[in-house]
Order: sequence, then C-alpha cells, then structure tokens
Amino acid sequence: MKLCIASGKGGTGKTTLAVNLTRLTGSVLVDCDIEEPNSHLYFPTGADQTVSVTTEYPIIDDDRCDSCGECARTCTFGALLISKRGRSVFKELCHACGACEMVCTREAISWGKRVTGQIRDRAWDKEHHLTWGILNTGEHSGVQIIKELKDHAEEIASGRDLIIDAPPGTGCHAAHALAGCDYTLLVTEPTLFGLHDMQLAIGMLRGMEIPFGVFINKDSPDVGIINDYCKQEGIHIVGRLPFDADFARSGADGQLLTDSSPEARGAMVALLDAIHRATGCRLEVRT
Amino acid sequence: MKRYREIVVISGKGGTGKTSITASLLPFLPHTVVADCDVDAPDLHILLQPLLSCAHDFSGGKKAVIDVDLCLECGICVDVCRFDALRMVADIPEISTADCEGCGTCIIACERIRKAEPAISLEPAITGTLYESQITYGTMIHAQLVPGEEASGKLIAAVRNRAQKLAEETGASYILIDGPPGIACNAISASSGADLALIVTEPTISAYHDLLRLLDITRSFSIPTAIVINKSRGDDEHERKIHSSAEKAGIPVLMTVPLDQRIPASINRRQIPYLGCPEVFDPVQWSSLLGYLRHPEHNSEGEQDAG
Repeated sequence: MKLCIASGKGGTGKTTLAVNLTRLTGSVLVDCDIEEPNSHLYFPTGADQTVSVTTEYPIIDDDRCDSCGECARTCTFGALLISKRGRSVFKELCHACGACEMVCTREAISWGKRVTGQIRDRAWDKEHHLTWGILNTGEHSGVQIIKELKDHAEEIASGRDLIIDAPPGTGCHAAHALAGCDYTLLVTEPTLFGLHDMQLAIGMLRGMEIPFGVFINKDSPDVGIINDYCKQEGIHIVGRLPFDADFARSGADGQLLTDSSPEARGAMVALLDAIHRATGCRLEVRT
Repeated sequence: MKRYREIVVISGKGGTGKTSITASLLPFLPHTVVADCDVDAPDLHILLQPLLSCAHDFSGGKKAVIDVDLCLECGICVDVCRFDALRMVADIPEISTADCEGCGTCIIACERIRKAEPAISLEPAITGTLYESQITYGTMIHAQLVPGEEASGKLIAAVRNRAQKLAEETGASYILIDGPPGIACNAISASSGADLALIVTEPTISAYHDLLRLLDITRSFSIPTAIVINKSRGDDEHERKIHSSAEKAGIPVLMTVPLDQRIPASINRRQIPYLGCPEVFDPVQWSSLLGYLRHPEHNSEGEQDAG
C-alpha cells in the first residue's frame, strides 16, 4: 500500500505521524516535503547515500546558430534571448520542455545539466529505510525531485509498503506527492485554521479521487469543530492524539513517541487498525 | 516614489504562527495594506473577517487544449511531452491540466504531422482568484489558488503587485504580508525585494533545520531579516541554537512568545491573538518588536499604541 500523509495546514503533525507509523511497521518512509524535509531528523543515525537530481538547459552552439530567434519566440518561459547583440540562456527559467530544439533548423541546440537538489537514502537499521528529497535553496520548483523520489522509492521498496510524508498546502508540490497513492491520512488540529485548510485539502483529494480519513492531532475535548464538520460531511475520523506538553517536547527533541509513550503507541496501533478497516490493507506492526 | 515599508512574515516550517503574528501586528501598524500570500492555504481572513469588494479570476499561464475533430490520433503529442501531461485514452490524447506546463511542444509536433493547423492550442487557464476586501484596519489583498496548480508563484506576485499599487495610490506606510511556508517559488515570490523578512520560528529540531534553509534564502536574495521565536517552552537547547545561529548571521531575535493555549483559543473565537490575550505578548518584548518594525535603524524600544 502507498499511504500518504497530508494536511493542508502546516505544523499539524504530518511528520510526527509519518515517522511513528514507520517506526511501528517497518514500511519505507518517503519524505516528499522537499522544501523542508524533516523526517530524517527522527532517525538520526545510519549510512546515507546521496544522488544528485539534475535538470537540463539548452546550450547554443555559436558556430551553428544564425540568430534567427525562432527558439526565443517559441519558448513560453522566456528562458532564451536572441538579439543582434548576443544570445542569452536563463537556466533557472528553463523547464527543459525541448521546444527550442524542435524549432531550431540548424541543430544549434544541445543540452547541459545542472543540479537542482538531491535524493538521499538512509538505512536506520535493518527494518527501517527512509528516502527523502532535498530542493537546493534558491531553486523555484521541486516537482521533478518529487517525481524521481517516488519512482526511486518504488524501486527500493520491493514490495514493502510506502509511507509518504507530503508537503503542506494544496499547491503543486502537495499534489505531486499525493498523486497515485492508495489512501491519504489527512492530519489536522482543532482550530479554525486547521478546519479551513483541511477543507481545502479535502477539495483537492476529492478532485484527485483519492480516498482519505481524518486524523485529529493536538485534540482537545473542549473543541468540537473538526468532529462536527466530519460528522456533517460523512467523513471518517480514523484516529486522534490529544494535545500533551510531553508529546510536544518529545517531538521538538526529535524523539519517537511510540518509543516513549504507551498512550501514543496505542493511538498509532488503533490508527493502523482503522486504516485496515477503511482500505482492506494492513500495515503490520513489528514486535 | 515608494514610501511604504514592505514587511513579509515567513517561517520555513509550516504551523509556527505566521498568521497569528501577522494579524497581531496589524492594529499597531497604521496605514497598512495587508496581503495574504499563502495562496494555497490562506487563513488570515478567518481572523480579519474581510468584506469582499471585488474578485477577479487569475490566469497564471496557458494550457494545452485539444480539438478532437482535428486530431489524427497519431500520438506524437504524447511522445514529445516531457511532463507526462498527455496520454492516449481510447485512441484520443487526453491532457492532464495539472501536469501541463504550457510549453507548446505538443503543438509544434502536431502541426508538423498534420502539415496544417494543429489540433492543439494553448488557452489561458484560470489558476486562482484574486480578492480585494475591506477590513477594520484598511484594505486586504488575498487570493485562492486552484488546488494542485503550478502557478502559485505568479498568483503570489499578483497579490503583491496589487498591494504595492494600492499602497502607492493611498500613500500607505506599510505593506504587511502573511507569507507561505517553505523555501521554493512561493516563499521566494512572497519575499524577494521586501524591506524586511520577519521569520517566525519555534524551538524544535524541525523548525531549526528549516530556519537555516530559510536564512540561506534571505541571505542570497539580500532581504534584511529578523526573527521571532514562537511556542517557547522556556530556555532550552533549541532556543540556544536559534540565538547562536542568529548572532552568527548578525540577525536580531526580536521577541520570544511562550507556547500558550490562549493563542489557539483566540483563533477559535476569530479574534486577533494579541487582542484576545495581550497578557501573553506584553511581557515578551512586544513593544520592542513594534519599535524595530517602525524604525529598524534604531533598534530601540518603541512606543506602543493600539492604532
């Protein structure tokens, strides 16, 4: 199973759930929050392997180019500038679509490569493997890294389940993390911000036809706004974890709650049962 | 000539309290245009309850559209697309608009095969909505991205452009931006060229890791930067690390707000956190934060007046 953990609002506890469910089950953890990946901080040791992710940009052969300018007129991203005074390629604006090469009649365009980020693997112990993407600071888009990371994760999983930690929000990075997953755990918190951003995420999940259940983190018995909304909409609440200063401190220190708190471990096991009932797929707890 | 100061509140990690801090500052910064640049999960309107003045569809670019009557069903468009945005469904190419980047490569290929007008064209796509609203404290510019869309950076730029134009027209003193999380196009688009990036962080291993990446961005884009620590649980290892990194970078830490459930309780009453629980903010350098925002060159204790 490919289980995605998403949220709408940031800071609700996606990574907390992802790392603790991984710890319990021995699934492969895939951190797709390539702008700010944090899962690896909870599995601090182990040998890392890193590969670079590259993207292409056009290189113009000055001997072949006759400055006709057709490539620059064709490029919808404004990445090429051809004038009598010279030729410029703005690498960061290039999407590597290949249109310039297609319209060049003089075969003057070849391709160079530049690094936009990394994919890193860590074997924490025999049973726990995590892989994550890192977008280089200053780069604008990490869609390509997310796509390559997910392909890479499927290769190394060899049949094991995947737990995908998605970025916050409803933008393109979140959508690419969610694409193709079997079930999504939508993590929220009982505030009006948590409710509103969850509603936006639900809209996206419904549009993508991905089944989902809601997990209420930092739950408080006094605040019923998430319960009430889910009840009214017929949305399945698959689990909850109460607000607890000790949980907050453990998380802040990069500790795994399932190792330190029987209550949190119990909540995670119950969550796995609820996911099993919802999907028919069981992530087995390792003893 | 530009007379306003543009202050953007960003965080790297999500959920550190950008919107709570942005909203709390608003009553103290007179003549401010406020802009919510977290366009894929905007929340500021929940606290400010804006009265909508106008809404515009926003097109962040063009997307490929197929005229099936002209299509020869050859599949060349699927082959040339580098974004996997096309696939053959029952011999007809189908476009995934979320994946299409509007490069037009498929059109060039189609035109060559047909040796005539191509069966594909690029049409402007609505990728969001831009709003202008009235709030107690003036005007608010905000937006909502169509979920999953790529063009969020352009929508954020549109929000900022509108806020800047309005600030110029009305002689506003400040533009206050509630920024997005992250470090990529959204965060860059919301903060490049701003007069001050106010980073809201929290004392956790994750937020510290994210803060260092964000400082990389504000440094490389030459944005003057200051830090607010939120959700403090007292002086601990994480806070000491933040202070030490800030000091090394020559960046002031202006305020440390405690982790306090009165802040989410205010949010749930739709109340600006400062106005809901001033007793949380007043003892923790709130007035010196305001002083810094108004006169960063002095870095002195400012006067406090609830606008």
